Order: sequence, then C-alpha cells, then structure tokens
Amino acid sequence: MQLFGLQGGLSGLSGQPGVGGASRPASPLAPSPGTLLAKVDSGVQFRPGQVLFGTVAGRQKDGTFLLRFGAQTLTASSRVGLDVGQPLQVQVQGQQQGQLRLQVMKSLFAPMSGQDVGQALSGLKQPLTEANVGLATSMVEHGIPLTRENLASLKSALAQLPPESAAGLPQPARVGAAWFLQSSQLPLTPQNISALGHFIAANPQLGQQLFLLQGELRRMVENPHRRAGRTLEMLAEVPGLLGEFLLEPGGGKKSGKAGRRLFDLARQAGIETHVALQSGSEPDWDLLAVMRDLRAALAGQDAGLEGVLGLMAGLEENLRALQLINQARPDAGLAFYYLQVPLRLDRGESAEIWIRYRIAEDGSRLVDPEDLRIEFLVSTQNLGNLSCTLEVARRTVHVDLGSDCEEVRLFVERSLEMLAERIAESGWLPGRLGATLRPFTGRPLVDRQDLESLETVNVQA
Amino acid sequence: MSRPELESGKLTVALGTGEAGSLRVLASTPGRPAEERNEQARGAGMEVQQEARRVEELLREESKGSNVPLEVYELMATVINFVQELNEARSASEGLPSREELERGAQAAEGGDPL
Repeated sequence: MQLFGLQGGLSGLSGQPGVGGASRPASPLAPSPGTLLAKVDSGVQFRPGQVLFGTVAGRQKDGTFLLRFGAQTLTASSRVGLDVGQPLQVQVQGQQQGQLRLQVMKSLFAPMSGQDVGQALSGLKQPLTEANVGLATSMVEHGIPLTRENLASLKSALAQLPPESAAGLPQPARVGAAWFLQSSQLPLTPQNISALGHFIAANPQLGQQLFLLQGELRRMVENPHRRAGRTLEMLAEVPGLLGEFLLEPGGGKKSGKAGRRLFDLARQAGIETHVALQSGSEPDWDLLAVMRDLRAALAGQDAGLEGVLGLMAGLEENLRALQLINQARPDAGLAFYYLQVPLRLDRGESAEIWIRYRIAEDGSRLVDPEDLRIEFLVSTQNLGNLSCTLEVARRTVHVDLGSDCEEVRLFVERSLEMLAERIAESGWLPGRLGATLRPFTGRPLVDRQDLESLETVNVQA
Repeated sequence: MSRPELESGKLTVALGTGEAGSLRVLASTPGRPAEERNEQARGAGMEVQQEARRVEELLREESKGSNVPLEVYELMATVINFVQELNEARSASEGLPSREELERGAQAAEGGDPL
C-alpha cells in the first residue's frame, strides 16, 4: 500500500526501503504516552517501522480520534490530547487482531530544497539529470508519490507531447495534467495533456472566450473587405449561437428557463451525456463539434482569419478540458462536477460551479437532491468575487454567501430575505441563509504548493 | 447551423446501441430540420421508422438518465439569478439595498441586452 502525507514532507517516501530512517524496523518501545491504538479493517496491512504522515481529522463523543493518513481514516485512542487539524507523524510498531499500535514521532521540520529532491532520486537509483530533477520537483509539489513507477510513467507520458503543444505550458502544469489523467483513468494522450495543462496553467473561462470570439466575429462581419460571401455567412451565424450559452439575469420566474440553459451548458461540459429533448432547451447543439466544423471549413480560406481561428482553438481546448474533468473517474467516494457559466459577457462576469456527486457501488454517479452540496464562485462587476455554498437536506436549502469585503457582506446580508423568497418560489424550503466574511478561490483541479513552501522532515529525530 | 425551430409533431431521433446493449437516443432534431434529417438518413441507406409513441418512451427513459436532476439546475439558476440581481442593485446604489432597489435592479437587468 502506498500512503502519502497530507502535510508537506517528501510525499510517498514514507516506509520505503533505503530512504532515511523510515525503513528501519521499530525498536521495541515500551508503552508511552505517545502511543496510539488504532482500529484497522481486515485486509489493510501496515509494516512495522513504516512512517505515516497525516492529520487529526476529528474527535468523537467517546473520546477517540479520527486520524487521516492519505486515503485511510482510522479511529484511534490516545492517552495524550490531540488537536483536530494537528499534523501527525507516527511510526508503526505492530499490528495484531485489527489493532494497530502507532508511536507518535517527534520531528524536526525544515524547508524543502532541491537537494532533498536529489536525495530522493538517488534513493530511487535514478540519474540526477536536469529533466529528472525537474519532473521529481513537480511531482513533490503536486503531492504525487515519488516512486520509480510514477516517475517512469509520467516521463513516458510527457515525452509524447509534441514541442508545439508543450510550448508555453509550464512543467508543473504538464505534470499536474498528466497525473490527473492517470489517476482519473482517462486516456493519457498528448491532446488531453495539452488541454488540461492549459486549463491548470491559465484557468480559461468560457464566458471570456465566448465574448472575445463574438467580438472578433462581429468586427469581421462588419468589415467584410474582400472576404468571400460564404465565409461571411458562416461567421455571421456564430455570435447568435454563442449567445445561446449566456445565463440571462432575471427573477425567480425565470429560473426554469435558466435551469434548462444550465442543463445545456452541462451538456457542453460533459456533465450531461444524455440528449433528452424534455430536459434541455437546445438539444442538438454541440459547441465543440460546431467549433471544429467551422474551423475546418474556414481553415486556409483567408489569411486574415488566423486570429479568430486561434480563439476558436482556445475555446475548443477549454471545452475538451471541461469534458475531461467531468468524465474523470476519481478514487474517492465523493467528487465534484465542474461547470463554467457565462453571465454578462460584455462585463466579463461569469460563474464557476462545483456540484458534489457520490459514486455508487456500481460505479454510477449520483447527485442526490436530498443530500446536496454545490459551491459557486460568481465574479461580478459590482460585488467582486462572491462565493456561495449551497446545501440541501430534506428539501431544505441552506445557503452561505461569502465575500472578502465586509461592506459587500453587509450588503448581501440585508438581502437574504429576498433570497428566501426566491428559494420558496422555486419549490424548495429556505433553511439557514447567511453571509460571511471569507474568501473563496474555488477548487483547484490539482493541488500544488511550491517546493520552497513545503517542509522536509528528519524522521530520525 | 441555425437554431432549431420547435414545431409540434415533428421530431427525428437517431438511435444506437448503448454500453449495455440497450437502445439509446444518440441525437434528436425537432421541427422542420427533422424532415431533412429523415431524407439524409434515407439517402444514406438507413432505416427510417415513424413510431411517435416509441420515440416518446425512449426520450422519457433518457430524461431519467440525467446526471443532475433538472430541479437542481433550477435551484442553481435561482442562486445565480439572485447574485446577479444583487449585482445590478449595487450598481444602482452605493448604499445598502432596499427591496425596491433590488426589484428595480432586477427589472433593469431583464430589459437590457447583454449581447
């Protein structure tokens, strides 16, 4: 089993032979206040001497603690007090009859450096080439277990990327994209790495792309020069099509229409793969296919079209990235769909939505209206970035709106009564509605921390 | 590439076999273009059948397969609309909004053509 730490450190190195003192068998320690006894399920096996990095995830009513180590959550009793959220480093002393004995380790933390990465590579018997160090550094920054197998598979995947696709794409974004694809059971192709890599590096927004493309197309149609009639005809059709993806502002009475438009957007983003006419308002549109067809039809026609073709290619790539994100098969039981929503294009307003889903035993994905969590990040001209967490239980809707500006928070707070009315008009029960002072930057596709901000740990301390 | 016009009584669906071997609706074309699709299909040697009830049943089945219930999309739209209303109201007034200001902001937003 491969565990990796949640709190800094050379993730994935714990317990591997030849790395620091982590592989040393545990010395027979007498029971001490620092000993934890944890329950483990049958089939889960830890090696004596293995060092685990994790956090204290919670405290239960009976006084036991929940400890999270990578994908494993263990219930443990401790004679010393632990704080929820506290990082934890323990060494496995032994496992018997479903009981795991863990020794809390004292450790000395120090900022991580390129030298630590080099040492880790040496431990894996890998040559210290510039390419290897760069790749290993990006892996550590993304929390990717630094194993010989992971290093080899990522190296092989990234080697497929043609130079033109890799151009302008930083290595951490390429590594993050390749790792996401690999761990999500998605095809590890150059095209997919490029699409997701650009998404990770630049966070392109559908709304901004549509607005730029729309403006460029209108400009070309209004200034035809010597452009062919058929070309102009094709270009003139697109702005109207792009307008179909805009979520218009409006009151509660419009939420039905806007809901269907969100459904259409979800189809473009690969969340909805069904084509039922009753659910969507524009069942036949496939924006990605339309862009591909149009680009193919326009290619080579006119030297002045490069700009607009480039914008279309960017839009296509973003749509491909969204579809990949939403087709991923995560290991965890809970995951999120991701949707970008264009709002007022002329003002660059847009929204991002994360919809939690559960993976059922048969592998299907479930969004349960009775146990729902949705997160929003709405970028507006007058309120700035407004975040929103929406939870539903028993048809009761709880909403928390967040802003990092107290003035905006107060403004929103005074309007919550109206939100309650809107929710009730939509056929749901308004529950706890609040406005809090908090920033929200969205959910990153892959976690990443710069190497300098990570910590290395002396496990022999 | 123009927007399909909904016209009652005309709908063409393209059928295929899903992963589990079941019949799936692969695409649908409502309104006038439906006839054109039928002609294209006949021209390509495909079988074209006219069975309104079967089409209705198939579409109903597809609707059940939505990954996110439609009412959840409507709820999300309610929240986004509310934020947009607040945004409009804020542009109309620097101070805290009254109910009237919010309503006025929403009306302004509905009347405007963002495109």
